[in-house]
Amino acid sequence: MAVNQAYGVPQGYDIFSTYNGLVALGYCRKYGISIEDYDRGMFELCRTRRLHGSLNPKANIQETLEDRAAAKGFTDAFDYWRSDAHNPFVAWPSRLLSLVTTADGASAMVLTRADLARGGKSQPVEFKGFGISYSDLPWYGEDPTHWEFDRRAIDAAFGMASIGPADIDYLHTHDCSHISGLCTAETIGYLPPGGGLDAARAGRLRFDGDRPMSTHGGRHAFGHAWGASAGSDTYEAVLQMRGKAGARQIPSPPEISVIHTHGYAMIGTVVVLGGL
Amino acid sequence: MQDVAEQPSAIRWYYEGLGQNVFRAVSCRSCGKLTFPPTGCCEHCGSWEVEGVELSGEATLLYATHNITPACHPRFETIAPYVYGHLRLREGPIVQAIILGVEARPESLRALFERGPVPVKAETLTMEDLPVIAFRLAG
Repeated sequence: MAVNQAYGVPQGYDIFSTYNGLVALGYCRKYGISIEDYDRGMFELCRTRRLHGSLNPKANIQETLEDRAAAKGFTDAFDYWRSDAHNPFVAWPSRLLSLVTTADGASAMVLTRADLARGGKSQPVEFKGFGISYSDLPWYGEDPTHWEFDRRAIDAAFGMASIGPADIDYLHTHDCSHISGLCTAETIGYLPPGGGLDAARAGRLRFDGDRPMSTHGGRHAFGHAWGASAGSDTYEAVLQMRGKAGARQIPSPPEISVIHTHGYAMIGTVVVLGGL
Repeated sequence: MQDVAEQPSAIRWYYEGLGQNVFRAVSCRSCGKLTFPPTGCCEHCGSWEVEGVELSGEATLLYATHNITPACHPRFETIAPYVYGHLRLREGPIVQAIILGVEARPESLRALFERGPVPVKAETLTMEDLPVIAFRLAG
């Protein structure tokens, strides 16, 4: 089904948040996860995103979820999360705070030949591989957790860079919805299938966890400026690899970083960075 | 092959059918797969050798959620909030569309989710300026 002038907007297919409500339901049914456990996992993932945002002076949201809850009079942040007044279901079972925060922004990257990069003012990072693939709506087939065009982009990038999932030290996935970002991490093999929510609850996705993700705060806390976001995601990976990410620095600076982004309706792009 | 520029519009043909509660796709003579909604060439293999087919309108609703903010065209504001579903047509294609016959409330959506996949039937949602496809829960 195509997102195009003939059918996309006229037939009302253009409802981003709803697609991710469907992904959430597909994820819960596929892995036997209760709606309650899903909600708790999304809460924990939001905590991590906003923790990262609180450690990033450039993030749009720099208030932790716990501070936000306290400011609204809640002693338990999960009660705040489950409050329909503060965090309604926008596409059941996905809540408002599981989604993107829109932002204005701009980004740029400088690419040059490897021989010119050495000896510069900044530690260079190698662009080791990339993959890109396209799709129309629906973005997924019968299984909403599997996005075939992402699979193709991942395989192309990893093949070019000669890496596998076990080589990844830092991963950014396009996380304008928390659940789709986890699904992509599982497709990549950075997280086990169906294990994303447990990883979030265990703190493994934090900057100081063993599977760090989206350390700038992700689309929710850092914000999403659409076309500019792939650049800011890459910038964050480069900062981490240089050991210059400040308070949110991954303790052992990553040697291999993977950045996955989506362009709307729908383009999957995967970039692999490594030390030069 | 017929000159592409001389092909009748698959899009016009689809909307004309939709206005009469008839649901149409194109079938590919090269790979045999269906493209729905129809376009001038096959979305699977790119062949222009396609022919129109009529669908049963029968489908299985796999998942249903809702949206508190409707799709961006103003015509959808009049029916918001509404339920939106992920479906498999009897003929095979996976489709997403508005779902009728269930309230756009978390409690109703949860009860539907716990039932598992359920049969639905296509019907045309007559809006002010354009027919829109929807699916209604059977029974």
